[in-house]
Amino acid sequence: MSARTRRRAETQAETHSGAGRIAHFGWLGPLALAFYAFLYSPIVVLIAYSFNDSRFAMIWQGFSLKWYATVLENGDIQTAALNSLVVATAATAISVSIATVAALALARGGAFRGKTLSMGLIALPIVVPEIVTAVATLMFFSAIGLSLGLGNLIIAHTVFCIPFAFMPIRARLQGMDETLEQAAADLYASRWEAFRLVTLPLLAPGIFAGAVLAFVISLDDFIISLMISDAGTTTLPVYIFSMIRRGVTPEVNAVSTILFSVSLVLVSIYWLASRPKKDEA
Amino acid sequence: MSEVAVIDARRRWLALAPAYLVIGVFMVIPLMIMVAISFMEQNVYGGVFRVFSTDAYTQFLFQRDFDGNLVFNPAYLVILGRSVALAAAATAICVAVGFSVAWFIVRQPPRRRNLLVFLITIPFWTNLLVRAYAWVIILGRGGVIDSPFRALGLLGPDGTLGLLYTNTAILIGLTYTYLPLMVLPIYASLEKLDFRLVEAASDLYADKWWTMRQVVLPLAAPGVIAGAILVFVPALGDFISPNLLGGAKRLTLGSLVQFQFATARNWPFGAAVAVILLVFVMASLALYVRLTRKAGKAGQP
Amino acid sequence: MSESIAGTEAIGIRNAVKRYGDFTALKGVTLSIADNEFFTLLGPSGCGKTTLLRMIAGFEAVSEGEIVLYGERIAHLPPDKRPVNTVFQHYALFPHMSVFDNVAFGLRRLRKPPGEVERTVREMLALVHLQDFADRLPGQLSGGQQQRVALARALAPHPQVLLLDEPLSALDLKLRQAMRGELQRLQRDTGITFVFVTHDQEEALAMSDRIAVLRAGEVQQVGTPEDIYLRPENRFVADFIGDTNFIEARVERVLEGAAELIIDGGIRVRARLSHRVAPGEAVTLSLRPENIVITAPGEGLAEARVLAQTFLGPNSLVTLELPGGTRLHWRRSNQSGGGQGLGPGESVGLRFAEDAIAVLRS
Repeated sequence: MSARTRRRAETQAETHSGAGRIAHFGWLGPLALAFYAFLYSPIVVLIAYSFNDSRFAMIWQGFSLKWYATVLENGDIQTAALNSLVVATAATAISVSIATVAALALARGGAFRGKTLSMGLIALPIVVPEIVTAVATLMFFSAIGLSLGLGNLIIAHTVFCIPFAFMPIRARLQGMDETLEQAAADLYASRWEAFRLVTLPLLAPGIFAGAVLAFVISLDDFIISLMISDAGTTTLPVYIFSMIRRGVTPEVNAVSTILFSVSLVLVSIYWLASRPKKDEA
Repeated sequence: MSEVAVIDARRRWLALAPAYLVIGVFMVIPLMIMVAISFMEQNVYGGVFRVFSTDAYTQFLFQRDFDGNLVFNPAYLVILGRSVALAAAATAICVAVGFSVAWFIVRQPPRRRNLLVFLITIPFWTNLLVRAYAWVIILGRGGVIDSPFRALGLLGPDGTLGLLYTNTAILIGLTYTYLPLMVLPIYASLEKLDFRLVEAASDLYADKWWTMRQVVLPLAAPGVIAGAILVFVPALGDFISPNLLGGAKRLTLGSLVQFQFATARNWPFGAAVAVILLVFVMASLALYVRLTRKAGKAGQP
Repeated sequence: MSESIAGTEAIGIRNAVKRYGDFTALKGVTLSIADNEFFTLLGPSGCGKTTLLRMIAGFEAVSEGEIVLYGERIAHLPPDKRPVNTVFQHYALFPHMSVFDNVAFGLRRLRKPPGEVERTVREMLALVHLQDFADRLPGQLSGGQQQRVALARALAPHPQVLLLDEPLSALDLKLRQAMRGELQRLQRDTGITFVFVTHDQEEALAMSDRIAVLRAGEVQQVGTPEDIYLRPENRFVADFIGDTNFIEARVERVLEGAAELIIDGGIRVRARLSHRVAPGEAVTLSLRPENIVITAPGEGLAEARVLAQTFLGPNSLVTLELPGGTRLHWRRSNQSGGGQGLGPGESVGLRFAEDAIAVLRS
């Protein structure tokens, strides 16, 4: 497409959205602006106050990096962060594997009895309120006497990561042309070859997006981790919560800012991976 | 998409088995155990006695006076009412704001649209706890909102507007947490809306309000309903906002459950409250399914 | 029909300009559409015809210029304040409303009493032969039926002007041809001025009282279908509508309303003039393939050699070459008894029908 025709296509798309004069409400612009300000104000406040020199989190005294230094010297934070990473990595790996085969079975298995039920079962961890899942899991581990340290956390995180890993993979499968696999089969590829050479490469962006999503969800989880972690298996959000309980300190702001930066990088990667390519759209 | 079976039945179940196993063992069975425990007796030293009892549910409505008689106690009903009211209010605010913002975004040129949607997702992905905590700094004593008032000498002897630890603070927290979950599905359904329908309404002498009411809103209903469920369900069981912004006195179902397990160590009662919460969630989901069926029938072919 | 607009002016477009950023979609269009006329805006995609229609409807604001509806300036009015209605390309029926409610939509907005709404809707549905479909949802109708609902809905408020944006483009060929007659009937029966947008020249020729041909935001020619087809004023119009031969020529002599020209290095032809040319000027001529008359060798105006012949059903297209190398397409009828075909290399004589050649503006 030449620059000129692309430009024209864009202007036509703009026209399509109504030339601004139909069903236009003047107050929508200011409202949207307020909405975005509302959305970002906590993040801006956190970042700004993380550079606050004052010992009191809420009173601005001047610029300083000392809270970042404090964070970097705090061994407990590092342990908690490491725990979070271990749990998130393990839960992501397991849940993505489970979700991928399940998505393939549901998207390529034809219509069968129990399909709706299967979809419902996979969605269950999203539907049930987190606090309910948290206490149910706590009681379950206690009832069967399971005490694997981080293992308990990994199990719990795997469960709620499955639906989040599942969604982008299934979406990708649904958008994929089944005839490609049939074409591969037509060209004498065995079922496994067709999967390895055609399905898997095409599915890769979906699997990747699912993995990033699961990783971030696991990293961010707080309530379930709070209920089932113990002294030795504190994750970062649980540790932050205990810091907040002990009293609001600027150290929390510094950790939060670091966490935000990590999330920002991950969400950008996710966005780039899950975005449909131009020629596919 | 055609429903051609590429995978035979045996392989299909083999592929589904891990998901069934993990979610079945570590989600369904725990929920069943939770229901069972809600019907057991509390062991005050932690854990439970395996005796059938409805004490936990009775405790939700009654308490025993000095003589051991059951006396109606509205305290927990108040908590239930507060949770439902806050979740409903948050949902209502989210619908109003979310619909307006989604309509605004949909009216932008495509490239700006994508950017605006992306901007909504960024904070949504950052740690929820951390974002809720930021509101403590904003609303709290001597915080961001208090500061200018303090500088102008407008604050009383207590030195704060007293925004934090109120129902309003919880509502702000809930709205803040779940608003993106409202904007995105409404945006998705508005994006699919054929704008020529809006033009057609306007061509047929409908003013903008009538056009929104009669054409845009009915056709965006699936998105609005989906958004409402995505906000209401987690808001009802939310723990972070009530805990951080509501203070110790304003319990909701979510923070009540957490309190029973972390502090009071009354497992049967905590489990019973969790079951009650779950029942409410399932009821709203059932309502959702009914509403979408109806919207689906009335909507597009 | 009308050579020029005789009656009242229904729509006047005065020097309308539409800009999107630095792209100009309409470059100063001036048109006058008469009352009770079936007027067509014809042109390839991207020529601005739809933009012009949307400006009349009020969906697009004019960047410059004015639109006059029966003497009243309307360019500043929103669509809901303009007494014109639109039939959309893909119908834009409200999917959540019954056929009845769709047709009643405009009437109810105009606050007509319920009795009148009911009566008018029934009337309109009868007009488009859909009496029995009032309670259906649009999704339950076929494409042709949806298209007629769209017509009924736009006609129901009895607009001063009906705007039709490629309304037939989504229908299959047979239905499209049937709808042409239907649209003409509706226009006659209702007496409403129709402004019709299409890229299909056959459709335009078949239905319109007058046609405006647009290209790249500019009006190329306005006239009756006969004017446009037989007397194209420029190369674009001649090429866009029907098939034609373009012939390079030099003006030999200018006469009253006509000119004598030299083609193919020596053949002298006569052509009608719609604009001023000077002797010696190089011009382009348009000659429709069906306007070539073949004679026995030596009996025509010029000699030609047959290069190729393509069979097209009702007729065949024969490629001829003049002695000077000019190639011409001749459309030859395949009517039975029309003689045997011509073989490549055969020699023929040819001449041109009276008034068949148009001198194009450069």
